[in-house]
Amino acid sequence: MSAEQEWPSEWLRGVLQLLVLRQLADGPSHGYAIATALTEAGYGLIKGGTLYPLLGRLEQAGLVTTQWLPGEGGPGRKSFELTLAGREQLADDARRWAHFAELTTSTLTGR
Amino acid sequence: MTTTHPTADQKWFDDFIITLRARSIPGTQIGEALAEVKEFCADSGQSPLDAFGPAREYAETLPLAPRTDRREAALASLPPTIAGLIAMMAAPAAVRAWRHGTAVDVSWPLVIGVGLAILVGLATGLLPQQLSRARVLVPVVLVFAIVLGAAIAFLPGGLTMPLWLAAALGVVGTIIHVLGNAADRSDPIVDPTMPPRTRKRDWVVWFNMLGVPVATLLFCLLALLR
Repeated sequence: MSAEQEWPSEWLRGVLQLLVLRQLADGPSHGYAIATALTEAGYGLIKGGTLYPLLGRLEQAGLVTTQWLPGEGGPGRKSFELTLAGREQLADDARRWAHFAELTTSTLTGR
Repeated sequence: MTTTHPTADQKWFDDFIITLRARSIPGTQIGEALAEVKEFCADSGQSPLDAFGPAREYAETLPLAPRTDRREAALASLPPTIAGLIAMMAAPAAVRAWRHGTAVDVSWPLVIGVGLAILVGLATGLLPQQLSRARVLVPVVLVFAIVLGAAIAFLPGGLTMPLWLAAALGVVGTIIHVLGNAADRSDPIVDPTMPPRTRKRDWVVWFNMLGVPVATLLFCLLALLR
């Protein structure tokens, strides 16, 4: 079973923003690199049609900035970079997610 | 990896652009969204359909803000258009009157026709969405035709205008028309990966700017010959 089939799409939708912010915390990146990193991390195939609308919303919210860089023998690359507000959002969301995951696990295991 | 098919990909891009245009998304943002798709497809080797799903659905999901100046742009084009229309009628009439040494006769159907054209132009600028619906547009055109036809049938004669006034309307109207249409109001799709360049006026801009003056000049020459 592939990772894409393994995780219900509802789960991925809920956590994708956090994961993308986390990817960008390591430094500026572009769409396909973000998608590939998440796929390699085990989240399944992340489609461009899912990723770019999310990146657009992050940009609108001021959590990332973008810059077009010239491509090497191909189309240009749109580079996404986390802003200070994006880092703060990531820190806050990561903390809350940890609490949420702990709460869910606790509820499911009855401990 | 999916083998891309140029024809299918082009159809996808066409549908994508049409949907974003229908949402009144500015050309710069459409260019950026297109470049994102091309970049991702080039990197992944996927077709646009495989990577982004159906073009129309993807275009609807993008969080892009529509243009807010569409109505203003439509209204801005009205005065020069109306000025050009008046000049096209006034200038040949002035030439004809000058040639025959008379005042300028302006028939009632002409006055009503110009008045209705101005009204329709204003209505189109103020209520573009309502008028674009066939249910409204067809009655408007019918009323226009009926009123003009009735004027031609039942209103013989008309007004007389001094020669200088008709000539002034012709010259001033032409100048307003040319200056008002000199600006390029198109909203081109701009590729953000390409260096900015000064756009040349395309033939549509030249036609909008000079079509009416050239026609006016031709009508003036015909008036001289008659």
